[in-house]
Amino acid sequence: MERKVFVIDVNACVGCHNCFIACKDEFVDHSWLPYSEAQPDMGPSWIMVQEIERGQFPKVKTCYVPQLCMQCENPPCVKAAQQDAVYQRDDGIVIIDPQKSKGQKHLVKACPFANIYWNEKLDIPQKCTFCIHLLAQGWKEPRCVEVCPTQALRFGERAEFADVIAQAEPLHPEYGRNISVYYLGLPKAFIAGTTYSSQSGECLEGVKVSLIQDSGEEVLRTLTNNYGDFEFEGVEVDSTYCLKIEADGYYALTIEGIYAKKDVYLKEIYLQEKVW
Amino acid sequence: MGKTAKGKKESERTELYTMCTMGGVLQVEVKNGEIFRVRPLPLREEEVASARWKIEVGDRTFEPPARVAVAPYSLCFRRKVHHPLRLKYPMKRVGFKPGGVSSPANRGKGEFMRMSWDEALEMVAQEMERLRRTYGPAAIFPMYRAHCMWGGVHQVFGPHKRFFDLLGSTEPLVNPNSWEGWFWGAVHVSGFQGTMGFPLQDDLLEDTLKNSQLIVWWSCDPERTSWQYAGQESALWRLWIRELGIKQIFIDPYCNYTAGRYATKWIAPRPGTDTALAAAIAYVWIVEETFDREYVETHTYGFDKWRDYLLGYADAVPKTPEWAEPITGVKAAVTKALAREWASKRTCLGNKYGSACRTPYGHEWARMMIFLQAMQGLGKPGVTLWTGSEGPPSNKEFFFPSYAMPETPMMLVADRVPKNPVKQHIYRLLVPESIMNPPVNWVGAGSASSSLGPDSQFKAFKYPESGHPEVKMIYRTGTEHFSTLPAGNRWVEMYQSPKLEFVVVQTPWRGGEAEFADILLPACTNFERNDISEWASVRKRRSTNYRIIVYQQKCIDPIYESKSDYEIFTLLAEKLGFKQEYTEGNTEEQWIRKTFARSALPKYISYEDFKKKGYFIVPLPQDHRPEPTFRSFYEKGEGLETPSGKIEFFSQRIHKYFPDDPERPAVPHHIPSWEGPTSPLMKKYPLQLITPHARYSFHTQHENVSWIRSIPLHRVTKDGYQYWPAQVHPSDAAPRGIGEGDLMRVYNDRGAVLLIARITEKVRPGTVHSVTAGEYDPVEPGKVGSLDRGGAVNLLMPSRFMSPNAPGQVTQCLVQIERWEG
Repeated sequence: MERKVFVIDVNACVGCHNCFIACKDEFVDHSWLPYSEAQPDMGPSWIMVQEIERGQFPKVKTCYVPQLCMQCENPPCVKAAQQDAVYQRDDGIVIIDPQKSKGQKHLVKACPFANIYWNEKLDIPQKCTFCIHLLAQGWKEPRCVEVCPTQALRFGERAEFADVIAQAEPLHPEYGRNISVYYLGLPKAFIAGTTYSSQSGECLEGVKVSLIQDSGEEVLRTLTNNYGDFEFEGVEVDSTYCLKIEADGYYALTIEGIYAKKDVYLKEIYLQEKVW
Repeated sequence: MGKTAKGKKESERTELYTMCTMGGVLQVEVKNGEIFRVRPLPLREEEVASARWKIEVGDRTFEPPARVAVAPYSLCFRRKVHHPLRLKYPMKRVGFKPGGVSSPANRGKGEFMRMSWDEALEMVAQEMERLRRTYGPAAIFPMYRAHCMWGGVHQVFGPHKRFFDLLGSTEPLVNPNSWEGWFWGAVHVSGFQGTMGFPLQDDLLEDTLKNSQLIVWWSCDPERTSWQYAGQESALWRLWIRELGIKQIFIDPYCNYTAGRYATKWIAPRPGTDTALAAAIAYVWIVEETFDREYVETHTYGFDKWRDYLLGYADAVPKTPEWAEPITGVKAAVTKALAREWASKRTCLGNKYGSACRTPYGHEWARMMIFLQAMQGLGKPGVTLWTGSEGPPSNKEFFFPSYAMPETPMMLVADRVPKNPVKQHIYRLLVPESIMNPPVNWVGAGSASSSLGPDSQFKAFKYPESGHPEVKMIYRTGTEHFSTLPAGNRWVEMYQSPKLEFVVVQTPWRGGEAEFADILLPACTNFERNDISEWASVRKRRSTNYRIIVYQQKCIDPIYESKSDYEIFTLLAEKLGFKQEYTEGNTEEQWIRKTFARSALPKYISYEDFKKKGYFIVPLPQDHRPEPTFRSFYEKGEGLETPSGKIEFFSQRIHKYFPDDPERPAVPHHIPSWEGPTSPLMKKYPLQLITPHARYSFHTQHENVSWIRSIPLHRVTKDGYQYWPAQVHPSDAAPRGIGEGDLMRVYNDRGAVLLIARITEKVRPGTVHSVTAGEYDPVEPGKVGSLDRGGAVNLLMPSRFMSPNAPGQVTQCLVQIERWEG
C-alpha cells in the first residue's frame, strides 16, 4: 500500500488554527473505533500549531509549525507499547488501539515529538490518525487539510509529492527517520542588524556586509537596504560567525564572535566616517 | 430542506444543511437532531466557473480556488450551539418581584429560577405596560446592537428594532467602536460616511497586485481583523503579495500577526503618537518637494494650512523627524528613510479598523492617513488606501440587501417601516451615566450618521429630553458586548442601580451581561431557524472571492425551550396588542421569500431551487471592468462627499460647527494623548496597555466555547482555568519578577484584571499588549470593582471620549502590572 504523507509548508502557514478546531469538531464526542476514542473537549487537539518567535525587538519574525503524529518509520511508540497496543499499518499510519492501550501512560513519553496526549478521563493515550476513519469512507483528505485557508497543509500518497519531498525536510531528523510528514520552510536562524552613520545619524544604504564563518570562510554577502538593514536568513544555528561591514567613505568594521544560538539582531551599528 | 448523504444506513442518516455565519459559509451535518460535523461549504469547480476571476500580473495569473476559507470560530459551532451554558428555559432572578424596584443590588449574582414561557412573556408584557402607563414609552430602553447571530431577516435592525419602534422606546445611539477615528475624523476629509469614514474598497486587490511597489500597513493587521465577516478569504492574497516581491512595512507598537509573517520592516511607535510620525513624514515630503504638487492643487482644499502647521508657521514648531523622535520613539533617520521610500514608489497605505483609530485623538490620525496618500496622488494606480482584505473583482450590479442599515431585509420588504414615536436617545458609551446621573449631554448621533448624513455628527443631544421620563427598563438582545465597553465597572454599578426597575436579557447563553437580568429569555441560534443572507456583505463592501448568497437552512429545532428572536417578539407583540402591525401577517418564511423576491436572485434561480440547494454563487460578467475606489476622483478631481467635493486638508465641516475646538481643529494636529506617555499619570501607571481586536474570537463572541478557549495562542491554561494573555517585553517583565506563564494583576484606578504573562520581543518596551474582548468573569460576581479573571480588559479603559466633540471610544490606557500570587 502506498504510504500516506503530509506536506506542510511553514511559509504558507499563518497560524489560524482552523486545523486545530476541525480536529476538535471531528473527534470531540465522536468515537471512531477501532481507530480512536473521543478526544477531550478542553485542551490540545491532535494537531498543534507551534508559534516560533524569532529575533529581538524591533527585528522580529514569527512562524508557525503545525505538528501532528509523524507516523514514524520504526515508531518508538510501537516499540514501547505493551500487548501490541500500537501498530503500524501498511500505509504507514500508526494506530493506538483505544482498548489495548488503556492505562499505558508511558506511551506519552515514548513519542520524542510530544505528539501523544493523555486522555485522563478514558485513561488512554491518543494521537492523530490522519483521519483514517474518513479515508476509509472515501474522503480524499483529513479534516485539517480541508479547512486550511492557504493550503499550507497538503495530504496524499507519497508518489504524488515526489518533487516536493525532494526539497522538503523532516522535523527533528535527530529523532529518527520520518517519512510521512514533510516540512518546507522550517526556520533556521537569521543574523541581522542596522547600520547608521555616526556623524549624520542617517541610515546607511548600500553598505557591504559579509558573513564569515569560524573557519574564516566567507559564506554570505549582502548590501544594506534604505533603512540600513541587512539580514542573513537561513544561517546554521549553534554556529559562531563574524561580520565584516564596509562602505565607501567609512572605516570598515568587524564584529566577531556572533554566536547564533538562534536568531540574532545586532541592533544599531554605527559606522565612523573617514576624516581626510 | 436537508439533503441526505448517500451511502449511509438509515440508522445513521446524515442530513446536510447550508448555513451562513459571521466568518464563513458552512455545510452542516446533522444526525439524530444534533449537529454532528461542520465543514466549510464544499464548492465544485464547475459551480464557480462563471464567478471566477483572474488577475494577471506579468507572467503570473492569480485566481481563487474553488473553496471557501472560513474563520476558526465558524468551525466551532457544533460546540457553540450544543453548549452547557445554553439557556434552557425562561428564568427569573431569585427575589425579583415585578411592579417596582426589587432588590437591584442582587443583579449580577447569578441566581435564577425557572419560569414557563407564558409566565415570562406575561410578566415582561405587563411590566412594559406598567412602565408605559406610569412614565410613558420612553421609560423603556432596548439595546440591540453588537453583531447578533448572522442572518439577513434576523439582523439586529430587523425583528428587534421593528418591535421597539412600534412599541415606542428610547432609542440607542451607538458609537462605531471599531472605526472611531475614521468616523469622527476621516469623514470630514474625504467623506464615506456610509462606511464609517473609511473609503470604499472597490477593485483594490487587482490595483495593488498590479501597480503597488510598496505597502505601508499602519495599525493594520489583516491576518486578524479580516476574519470577521469574510473569514480567511484574503489569506491567499497575502501570499501573492509576497510572491510578487511587493515590500511591506508595518507601523504598529506590536508586531502583529501579519507583520510577524510578512514584514520587511517593523516600525514601532509609542502607542498614540502616530500623528507625530505622520506629520514628520509629510514634513520631509514638503521640504524635499517629493509630494504631488499638481494633485494637491487640483484635488484638495486647504493644503496651505496643513503645510503651515507642518512647517511651524502657526506654533513655531516645525514637525521635523527630529521633533517626532522623542515623542514616537522612532529614530529620525528611520522616519526619513520611510518618507523617502514612500514618495519614490507607488505606495499603497494599508489601514483598517485598529488601535490607532481608537486612541485619544484618533480622529487626528485617521485624517492624517488620508492626507499622506493625498500628498502622493491618492487614486493613481497603486496609490490607494486599502484594508488588505477587501476589493476582489466583484459583480457590483447584482442586488442583494446587505447586513447593515438602512437596507436590512425587514426594512426593505415591509409594507410599512415603523417610526419610533419617542424622540429620546441614549448614547451607548453614556448608558451608565444616563441611568445613574442624568442629565447627560453629548454631540453626535453616532453610527446612525451613516444614514442620517454627516451633519448629524454635530447635533447636540441631551438625556433626558425635555418632557421625557428617565429610562426605567433595559431590554438587552443580541450577543453580549459587556467586555467591549470601556470602564466596565460603571455598567455593573448601573445594573444594580435602584433607578432601573426592570432588566430583560434575551440571549442563547448564560454568562456576561445575562447575569444582570431580572428575566432571562432563551433565544435560539441561527442554526435553529431559517434565514437568508449574503456572506460578509456589509454596505457594498466586498471581501469574499465569490459573492455567495445563502438560504440559511434551519439545521435543528430550537434547543430546549429556546425560540427565535422573531418568534419571541411576535409573542410579545401579541400580548401587547400589536401583532398584526409587527408581523404584517408574515411568517419567518414569508419575510425570507419577500427578501428573495426583492433581490436580483429571481432572474437567475427559482425560490424553490434556491431554498433546496441552500446557496447561489453570483456570476461575474464577462466584461467586468475594474473601477478602483478614488480612480474616478483621481481623473476628475471632484465628487467626494465633502463640502468642497475634494479632499479637505482643512475640514470645512468641523470648522463650521466647532471653529475653535483645540482638540479637533479644522487642520489635524499631533496632540499629546490625555492618557499616554507624557501624562502625569505615568508616574503611577507607567505602562501603556493597548487592546486591539482579538484574533480567535470577536467582541466576546465565541469566548464561551471550550475549543476556542483551548487555542494556546488565544488563552493559556493554568491550574485548570484558561487565562487571557498579555504580551509583555522582557525589559518590563524582569524588574517586576514576572516570568512566562505567571499570572499578573493588571490594574489602574478603574479596575483590575488577572492576565497571564507572555514574555515577548513582539511588543515595544513600555507597552503591554492584550486584546479585546475577553469574557467578564468576576471573582466576586455582582460586586462593583471585583477582580476579573476572564480577560475583560475593558474594565481598565477610560470612559472619556477621544475628544469632547468626538464621542469615540478609546481602547488603550495606562496601567501597572504586578506578579499575582493569588
